[in-house]
Amino acid sequence: MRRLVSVVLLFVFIISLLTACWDAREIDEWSYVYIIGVDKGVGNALRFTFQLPSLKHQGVEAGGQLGETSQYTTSIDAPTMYAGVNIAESFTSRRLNYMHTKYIVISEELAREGVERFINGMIRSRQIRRIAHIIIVKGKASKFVEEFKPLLTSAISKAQEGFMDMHWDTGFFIDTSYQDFIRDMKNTYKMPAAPLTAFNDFSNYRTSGNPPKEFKSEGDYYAGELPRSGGNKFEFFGTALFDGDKMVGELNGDESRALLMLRGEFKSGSIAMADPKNKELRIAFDTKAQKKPYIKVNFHEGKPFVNVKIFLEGDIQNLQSTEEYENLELKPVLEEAFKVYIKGVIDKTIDKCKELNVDVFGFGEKAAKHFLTIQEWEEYNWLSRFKDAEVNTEVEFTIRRTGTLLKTNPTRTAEGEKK
Amino acid sequence: MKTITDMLTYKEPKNKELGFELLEDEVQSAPKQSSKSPKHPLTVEEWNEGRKAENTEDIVSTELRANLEVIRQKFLMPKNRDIIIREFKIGRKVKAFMVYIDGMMDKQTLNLSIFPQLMSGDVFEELGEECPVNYLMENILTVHDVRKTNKYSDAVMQILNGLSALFLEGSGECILIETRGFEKRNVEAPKTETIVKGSQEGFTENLRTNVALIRRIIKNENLVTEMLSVGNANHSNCAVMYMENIANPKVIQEVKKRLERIDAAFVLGDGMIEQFIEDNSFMLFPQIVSTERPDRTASFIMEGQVVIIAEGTPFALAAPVTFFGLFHTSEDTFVRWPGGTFLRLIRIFGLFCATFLPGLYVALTLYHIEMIPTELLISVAKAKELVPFPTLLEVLIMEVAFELIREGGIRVPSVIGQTLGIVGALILGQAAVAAGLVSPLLVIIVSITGLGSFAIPNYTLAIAIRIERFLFIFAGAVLGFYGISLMAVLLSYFACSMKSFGVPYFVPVAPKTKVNPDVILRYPIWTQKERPDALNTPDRKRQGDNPKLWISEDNRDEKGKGGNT
Amino acid sequence: MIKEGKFGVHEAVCLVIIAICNKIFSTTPGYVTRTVGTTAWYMTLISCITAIAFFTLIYLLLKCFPGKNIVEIYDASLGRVVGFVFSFLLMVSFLLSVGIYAREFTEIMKTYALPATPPSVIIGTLIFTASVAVFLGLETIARVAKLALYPALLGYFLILVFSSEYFKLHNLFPILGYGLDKTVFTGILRASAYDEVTILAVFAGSLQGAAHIKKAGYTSLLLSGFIISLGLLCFSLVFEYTSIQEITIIAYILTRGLKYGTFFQRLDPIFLLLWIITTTIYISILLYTTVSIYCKLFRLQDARPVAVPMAVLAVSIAIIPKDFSSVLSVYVEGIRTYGNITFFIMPVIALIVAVIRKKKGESECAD
Repeated sequence: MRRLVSVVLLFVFIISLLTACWDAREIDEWSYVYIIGVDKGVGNALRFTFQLPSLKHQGVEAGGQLGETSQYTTSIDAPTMYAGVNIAESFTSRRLNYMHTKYIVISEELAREGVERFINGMIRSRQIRRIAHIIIVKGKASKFVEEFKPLLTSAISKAQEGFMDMHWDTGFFIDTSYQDFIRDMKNTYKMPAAPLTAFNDFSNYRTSGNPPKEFKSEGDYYAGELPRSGGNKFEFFGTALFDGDKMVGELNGDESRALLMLRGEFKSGSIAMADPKNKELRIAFDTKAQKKPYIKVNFHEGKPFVNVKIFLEGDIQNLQSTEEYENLELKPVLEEAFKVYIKGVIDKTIDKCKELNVDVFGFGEKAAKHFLTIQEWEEYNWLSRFKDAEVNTEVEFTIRRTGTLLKTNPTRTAEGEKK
Repeated sequence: MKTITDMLTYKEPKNKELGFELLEDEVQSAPKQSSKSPKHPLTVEEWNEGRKAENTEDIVSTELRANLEVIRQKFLMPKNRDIIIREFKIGRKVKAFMVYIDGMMDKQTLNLSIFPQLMSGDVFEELGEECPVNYLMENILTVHDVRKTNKYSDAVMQILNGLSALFLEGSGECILIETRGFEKRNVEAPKTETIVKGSQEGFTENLRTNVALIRRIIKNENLVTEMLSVGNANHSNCAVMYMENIANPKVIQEVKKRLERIDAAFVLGDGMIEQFIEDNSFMLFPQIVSTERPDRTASFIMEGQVVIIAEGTPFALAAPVTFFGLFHTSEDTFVRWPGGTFLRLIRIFGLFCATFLPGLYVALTLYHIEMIPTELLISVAKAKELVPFPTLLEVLIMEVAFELIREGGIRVPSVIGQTLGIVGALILGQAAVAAGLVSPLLVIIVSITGLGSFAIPNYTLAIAIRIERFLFIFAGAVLGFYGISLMAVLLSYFACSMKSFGVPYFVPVAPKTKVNPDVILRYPIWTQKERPDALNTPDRKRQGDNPKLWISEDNRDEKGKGGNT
Repeated sequence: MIKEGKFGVHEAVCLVIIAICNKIFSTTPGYVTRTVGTTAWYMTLISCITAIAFFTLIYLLLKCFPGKNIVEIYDASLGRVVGFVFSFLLMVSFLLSVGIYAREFTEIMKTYALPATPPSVIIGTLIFTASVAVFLGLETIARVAKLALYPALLGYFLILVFSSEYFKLHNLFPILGYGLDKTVFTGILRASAYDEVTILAVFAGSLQGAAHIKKAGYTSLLLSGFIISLGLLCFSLVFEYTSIQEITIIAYILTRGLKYGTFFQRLDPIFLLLWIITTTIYISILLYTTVSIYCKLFRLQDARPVAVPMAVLAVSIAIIPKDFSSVLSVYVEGIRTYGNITFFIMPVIALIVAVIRKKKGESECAD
């Protein structure tokens, strides 16, 4: 026993002499990349942009107070990502570490040509995480990475997660992780989709003019077109559609909501529509998904027939008219109107995707149940058959609550009740 | 050179008697063992001992002058001023002398109960034909405990223990009178094991007091106290206490055998005894538990363990013990079961923190930075910009400094001691951070580690954990989480191969024995019906089938009352 | 004969479960999915049933020769020479398993956690820890296995539970994979995944009776079948068959993908802790089995001098393959395909010979 213990201790101490010989890197030997941007390169195949935090201390520190973290950006032209990283390390004093990278931003130009090359290549490294978010940017990815300076907080990673979490609240774009993207690229059930972002030059924010007469929904914009001023320069809105690895189309905000509803990922959103009795006024609902959609796929002579039923529920958020929609007579009117409206949006989305022949909704997942072996399924090749599919949609909608008002009484002016 | 060849050559495995295994045998179902121990055939040693008694040199002679010479010689008088020889005449007729050690005898007893009776004139009035020694013992000596012996060695031993020896002219025996009365400490609150809800009596250095404290708790005629003498030169007394029908006789035998075979000149107190009789000296974990409280000792005895109390230190040893037993304190028993479970869980959490936390921190920051949340990472990185040391060195500096503070704090005079401990450590930490020597996160980690190690109830185990922590720090620094896992597995290999007096160390988890509802989580006291299975006690039942008999009795009463209310 | 100590049913079950279920964390799911597609989870149940059938035959063989371990049984039923050859082959299979698994483990470590460390260091420390276990004896390994199994299982189930938010039932369809015949055939062939149950036969002397062996064997096989099948089911539910075929280690990627809000992300090093502990115990038990068979073959009294050379041999075997791809495609596949022969077929041969001999009236086989 004594010999064994002494041999073991000897071994431990000898091995301890090899501390930090190989793999140990101090925290301050790394530089942590927050965002990776991928562009079509000019000098070489691809252009990579990295955003790194600068850990300089500004001014006099008192016992552990930390100042603002500033970031700086650098762009490289390189054939592949890891070669690019190597080039970058020749002008930084630390190694680049992308274990904490949360965003991988791809420019639209590159996405339209095909992302397969570098998506497959990047995932081999152990540092890239499959939970990173894939984002498509209209314009240059390098510009996005440079301009990514969130206004509300200096904690970049919190802001990154926060931006992506907004899609739960609004439904205006989807959130794709690297894992989801690769999976959808390679599988036989559905096609990938990714959130779109763009720069808003605030030109849509006109200072003079009249609002449109017809109903314009809040989501009827593509990324970069939101009529606003102030705030971060970039905005996340809409979805990019991919056929395999090439980007083929875009969805605006409303259509992204439809996509989420069909996928069963829609959580909540505030949806406005025109008042059925008074076309100039608007009604908004705080819509939530009641349960997952009911999708059934049937085959008839090789042609797929898809029946979709979507379940939504909502609370009335604002009524601009004074009709008593809250009571039981007029409520079904409202519900019907909303159902029609939503069905319209959904059908529009499905048609758009059918034209592009991309099944981003995941109908293929339900279709696979009809096949017994993988060989049959792959022979059938669902992804090519989507354009022939006939899709019937149905929307179920129930108004649950009316907020803190049970009744809206009309305003009284000098001329009596306003109607 | 020899150590290297020693290490590399193959040696036959020594068949030590440590192959002692506490196996299940048929004794466990026997209700009560016979109170008489079976007669063993005499071994050679015992027979030799018997023969030694006929060694004439040791026999007390009938001549008083000769006895006096022998005693003076043995005690190296007149150099040795401690021994007092009081010569007098018994009953004004018979010459006699009394030998005792100044300071160890009770003056009151001698002056009031012994000398007056012996020196009065009418002592030998009614002496008939009988031996004067017997006559004295039965009629004259009004002391509570007298014995006689005819051997010098015996007499000398007892004189050294504090008794007085009375030698008579014309008698070949001497009378040993119990006159012990030295200065000793009062029974005070235990210094190392304080609890909130429980008795506040602790052991002292005097063996008699300690045994009496236990006797006050276990008033059972089957509680046996055997006295042994350890240490060839200092002959320290050692009491082995156990319950005759509960403790496994093999364990008792093994304990006594190991104690008797200690061949050292100076053995004082339970610490040294523990180191002599434990199974594996080269393991970090203790295999015998020591305690300062009599209530805890009593519970050990009632569980079937054997308790060893030695003179000189206020601690008692109990064997055999398992790893989970080191986490029990008497607080758990005196508090209700949710409190007991909660306290135990906190202690185990403290154990984990104390062992793993610095190692995990080193491994995380050097190898696995992906686990740290990004914002925390950036702030740690920023703080580390100012620190010139690598992480491993930082951690070692802080750990060693903490250990220094701990060790130094023991010896600081108690007036400043308290303040230095807590405030000093934190302020030192703050100052170190401000000076840019360590990063702030590290101060927190080291303090939590220290607190975790304070939460471990057993002192020896806490020291072992403090040593192991350094092993984990090195392992984490070399190979990250891989190194920590390997080190953890290595240590568990060593720990699981340990046996404490025949009981495997990690019972009842590995190997599996019947679950005792008191290992980690403490179930209510009325569920603990049987004694721990691993100790193989002859008598298993601790409580009856329905320890809360008052419930069924109440029910019967209620039914009888009917509709009176 | 070396002294081996005794352990009970509970510990035997824990030992065998750790030995068998460690494979779920390796590259096996990926390889298996290439052949059978979406049906990996019930293919492994078929393997389990096959293994149970084989184990029944082994148990019958052990019942024929009560109290003897498999080396002695081979000697008794097949004669000195053939028995020696069989036992030697068994020992070589165990040693190869140790070496190749150590190499696979090292490569995975280098890919994911410790890229710059030389592989010899990783293999060396692993086998060093295992040889310490060999020095300390079988009882120690059994007890540590028992201690380690509960947290490992708890961690495993927690991972599976936490990943339930990514479950998609459609990933299991098409339900028959690449064809039912392929599934069944691969299932039977891959019963070698459960071949570590033979260690019960090697340590038959320490298990206190044939009834214990039976209970231990069946319980452990059923439980490991359940654990592996559950794991493969979860993998198939989270990833599709196209993805599983690509990924090196699917279990690790599963843990990497766990994300609950901003805080509970990237928790895979905790999974790493569990996996390394179970792997170390796996290597220890197999190394000990090898040493034990060797000592029983040559009737040595003490196992300790054999431990160090055997460890060196294991390290050498682990270093033989040149690169990871050959490790997987040649060596691991080889073991899985041909492992059946040494672990299952050989005892069946011995059983048949023993029964035949009994018919001739020579042995006292009660079958």
